[in-house]
This record gives sequence, C-alpha cells and structure tokens, in this order.
Amino acid sequence: MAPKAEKKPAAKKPAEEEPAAEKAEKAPAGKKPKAEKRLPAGKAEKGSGEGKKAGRKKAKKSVETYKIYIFKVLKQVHPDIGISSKAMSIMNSFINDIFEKLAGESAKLARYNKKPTITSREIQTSVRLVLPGELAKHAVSEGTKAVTKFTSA
Amino acid sequence: MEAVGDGVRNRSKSPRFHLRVSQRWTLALAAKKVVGRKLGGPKKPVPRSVKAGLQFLVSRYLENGRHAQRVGTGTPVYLAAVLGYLAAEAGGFNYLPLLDLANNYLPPLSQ
Repeated sequence: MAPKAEKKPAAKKPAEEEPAAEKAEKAPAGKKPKAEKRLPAGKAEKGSGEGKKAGRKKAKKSVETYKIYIFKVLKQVHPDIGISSKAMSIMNSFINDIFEKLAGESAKLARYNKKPTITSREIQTSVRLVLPGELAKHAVSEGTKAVTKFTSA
Repeated sequence: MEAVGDGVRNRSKSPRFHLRVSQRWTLALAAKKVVGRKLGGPKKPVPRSVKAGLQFLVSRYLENGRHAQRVGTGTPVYLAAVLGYLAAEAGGFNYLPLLDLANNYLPPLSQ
C-alpha cells in the first residue's frame, strides 16, 4: 500500500480570491509551461447539461471535449493565467483517462456485488481505490460536498 | 347541497342570498384555477452543474459508456466533482508528480 505521506505538495483547494503575493510565488513555481496568451474561444461546443462521450461522434458534426470546463476551473484557481492549446489537449486527455479508470472500477464493483446500478457509493469506493493517499481524501470530501449541495437545492 | 337548498328556499324573500351563493361558487372556481395554475405551472430548467455548484458538466457519460445498466442520481454529480477537483489540482501546480503517483500505484484486489 502506498503511504499517505507520498504526496509531497500540499493539497490546495480552488480559491476564488488569492492575495497578490501568493500569486507571484505560485506562478513561477509551476513546472508545466504555460503561455500568457489566452486560448481563443473559436471552438463551439455543447454547453448543455446532457452530452455524450468525447470522441465517440468524431465523424459527425460536433466533437465534445472538456476544454471549456478545464478553462473555467483554471479561472477559478488562477484568474489571470492562460493555457496553451497543447497543454489544454494534455489536460483533456488526463480527464478522459481518469474518467475511464473511475467508471471501469465502478462497473467492476457493481458487478461484484450483483447490482445493476452505479451509485455515488460505487464512485466513492472507486475514488479510494484509484487515487492515492491524500488525493483520495480530498476528492471524497469534494464529491460528498457536491452531492450534499445537489440534494439540498 | 345545503347552500343550494337555502338559496332555493330564500329566493322568493330576497335576491341577496342568491347573489351570495353565486359569489361563493365564483370564488371557489377562481381559487381552483389559481391553485391549479401554481401547481401545474412549468418550472424553468436549472442545470445540475449550477445546482451542485460545479464547473464540470453533470451529464450521462456513464450511461452512454454502458458501464452499468442503471446509474444513480448522485453518481454524475459526485464524478463531476472529483474530475473538477483533479483538474484544479493538476492544472494548478506540478503535473508530473501526479502522473507518477497515479501510474505507479497499484489498487488492491477487490474482495
């Protein structure tokens, strides 16, 4: 089993407002190269609540990706930092990869327990299995918070 | 029944009772219309991402991927929250250590 102290950088939740000093410190510390220019919003994508899997309808008119959502999250974390198109493609591939891992693990869990339904409990257990250490803890708390807010609204 | 009976009996005496009966029926019909309108009125659709306070979309990826026959209500909300959190983590600072951790970690055998 992986030890919980394996994750070296401190976990940071997306904060809407950050002091200017922290911005100056964190921006150069990132090893991933980022271009200062913003990504043009020329790609029209479906923003509706119901969509289909990215890459499945590649031959048809619309290609669905996570790019606009990744951009929204980036604006939450670092409001004044942009992202290059290659970095955005890498992030999109990363999200697709994690999605496949979690969905596959949830499907296996549902099958082992002889149940036809994937519930949030299956997703929670899959998160604990797939993600290591502190990352799993914070992901579980984020998911639980979102579901609680969703049911109360 | 009694009201109608009273109305019929007292019709010859004074027309006021007849008016009162008709007023009562009118008010009842109006109230029924108002209540029906409020109850049956169409609500504006609110996207589930906004309802859960997330940036990633809450959608039917799990259903389209045929991972299971059925998908619970809270499942896409939970998954969207986890994916959004991971995007914030990886996009915020170091990316390579996260990949190393994710790839080298072997999940234990289930059951």
